[in-house]
Amino acid sequence: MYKYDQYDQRVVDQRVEQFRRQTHRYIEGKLTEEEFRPLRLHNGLYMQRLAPMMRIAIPYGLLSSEQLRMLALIARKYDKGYGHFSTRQNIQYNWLLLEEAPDILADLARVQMHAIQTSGNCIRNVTADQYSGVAHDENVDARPYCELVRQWSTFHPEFDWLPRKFKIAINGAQNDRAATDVHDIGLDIYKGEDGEPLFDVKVGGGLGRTPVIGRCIRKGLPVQHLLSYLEAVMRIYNRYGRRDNIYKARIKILVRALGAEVFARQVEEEWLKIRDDQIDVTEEELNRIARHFEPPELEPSPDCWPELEAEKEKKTAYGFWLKNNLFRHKVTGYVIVTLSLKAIGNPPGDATDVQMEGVADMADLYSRSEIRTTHEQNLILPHVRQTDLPKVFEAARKLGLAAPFTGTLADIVCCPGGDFCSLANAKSIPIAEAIQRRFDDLDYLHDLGPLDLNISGCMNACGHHHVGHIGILGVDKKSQEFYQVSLGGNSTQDSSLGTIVGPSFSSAEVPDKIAEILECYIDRRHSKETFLECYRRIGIEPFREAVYGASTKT
Amino acid sequence: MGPVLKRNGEELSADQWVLYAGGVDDGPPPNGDWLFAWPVWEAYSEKLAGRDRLALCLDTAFDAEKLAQVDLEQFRLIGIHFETFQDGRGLSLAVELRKHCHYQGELRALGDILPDMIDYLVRCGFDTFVVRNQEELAEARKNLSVMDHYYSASVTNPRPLFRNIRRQPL
Ligand code: SF4
Repeated sequence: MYKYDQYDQRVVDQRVEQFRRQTHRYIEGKLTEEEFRPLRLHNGLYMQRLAPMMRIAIPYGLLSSEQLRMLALIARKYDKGYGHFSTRQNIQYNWLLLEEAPDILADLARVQMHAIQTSGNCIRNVTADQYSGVAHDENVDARPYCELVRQWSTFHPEFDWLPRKFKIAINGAQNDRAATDVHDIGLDIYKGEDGEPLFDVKVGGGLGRTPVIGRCIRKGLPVQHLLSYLEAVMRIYNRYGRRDNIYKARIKILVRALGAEVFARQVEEEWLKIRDDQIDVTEEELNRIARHFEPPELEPSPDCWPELEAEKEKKTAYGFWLKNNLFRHKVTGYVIVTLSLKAIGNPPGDATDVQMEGVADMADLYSRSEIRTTHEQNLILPHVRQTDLPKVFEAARKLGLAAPFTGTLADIVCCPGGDFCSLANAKSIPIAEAIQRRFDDLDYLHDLGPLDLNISGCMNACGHHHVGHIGILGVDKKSQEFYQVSLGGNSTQDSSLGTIVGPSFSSAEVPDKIAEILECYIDRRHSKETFLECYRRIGIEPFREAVYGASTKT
Repeated sequence: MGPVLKRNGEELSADQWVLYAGGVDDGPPPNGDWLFAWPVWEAYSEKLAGRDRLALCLDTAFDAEKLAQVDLEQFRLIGIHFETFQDGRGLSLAVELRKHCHYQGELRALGDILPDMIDYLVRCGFDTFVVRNQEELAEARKNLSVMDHYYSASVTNPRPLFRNIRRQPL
């Protein structure tokens, strides 16, 4: 994990003091609401429906047990005893006091954390594959490059007042678990012929009200030019991105208006002017950062994979859990374990202070004191000995974190929605719960196979509904909460955006309609076909018929 | 105009520069310490050329490429006017003036300037800042030294942190 040196520490400490003064000036009436707003957003603070909300950065989803304990403490000390892990690997607290916000930031700084640039029109927290550094299918560990980009983008002089928010994701594995196709900039990193890391740069992807798959504008960019190239992209966007209409201000609109080729040419021209400046990283600095991410020395531990396979087939709670909550580790004898924040009735992604502390203890005992947060709003223990699995399961079960259906329909990704968010059209958490309750038969869930179900409470798409195999979007129909269902989205390497099935449904109808969609899949699937594969083969029509009857034209 | 802060923290006391209020239709501007908007300058550049004290005022949307053929050294001052402090185009424009157009003279930020962004403006190459009143001047001054160091390179410090100091490896 990256450990702050004196310079990193000074940056966050001084930022806390600056924000303390700003908050003070606002409370004293010396800063107007309009002036304070972007300043607090740049420090992660929103004014939500019921109380201020703070989003804290978890850079590329990496946490130490010490940091997680601090997050638990903050939940207890300043909030109602819980926090919400978001789809961008961050954590949010919903019930804070404005006056206490600077103290929270000061507490965070003590464990090398911050809320810098977690909202506002600036470069946000860089995200990555949650399995970076441990996944068996990894080409290059993305984390050193994430940290490089994090430092470059923190307080960048030019890019703190962009037309709109800006999200960067980096993936270094064969399977893209970072959704790089739907980011403002998505970076694929791989090894070139001489073993040097190279980047493919995709721009203009994104969800929200105009979902777009990003376009690759540069292939094979060497790492020693990464920062100057990013700087060129940002400058073109900052200069020419639209500022007259916030719904047209993301980079995807600019890329589409110019065309990806023209945009790429403009970036290239700008880049030629600056690529020999001193912006770019030195080998020494890259090595310095990389050293923080060297894999821990894991003592040899027996490989129990065959036994685990057998155990998985048993229809026990443990068997189901093993089947869905494990991912293969690079190192034999070890495994990556998902601790689910999706227990039925738990708002997806929410964890209490007690659960967070419990996970921190588990990490100390079983996972080299390391935890990850996932895009699917779960927590991960990245270095678990296979022989420790029974104990880990037991500990997770006691904490209510052993829901055995990660990766299935019940592992719902869901934004805070109308219960908390002031932008929402509809509630999303109760819909997630209704679906989980309806489909609580583990055999059935496993029979359905891998399924991403994503719910967003409005077009801003924080629940990433466009890329769910099944996506649900809250809409406002004559001031009533309705839900629009889409099918066929996907966020991994062969990414796609969902297609709307048809007219929206009331909240009471949603679980039945999902059931009809699933029945249609089960009827039509070929032997081992997943939901997504089946959908791609047969298209949307059969599902439309299943849901609206044969005569419905939409 | 309000008080003018220099990036060394001093207040610029004897400042004469005034935004020229006339437009293109008003004929050639009279003598004076004017900041000319681009259209006025463009219309009268031949008449104005050779005057001793010339200054421009650009809005944030201005395209720096238009300056490619212009001798920038004739300007004592170039101002960039922020309609709103949230308009980050002014930051990139300043960088382009400094880095691509090699403008060496005074660069001034005017308009809706928030004291809290002074350290960003400095790093993008601005020298002076017009703020609203003395209280904001004091606040802006504090923000000149709000951070001991920044990670990224800037106009004032073309070397990123890792090239400036030796960061200790683990
Ligand atoms: S998708 Fe809409 S409702 Fe949900 S968190 Fe985002 S803005 Fe709020």
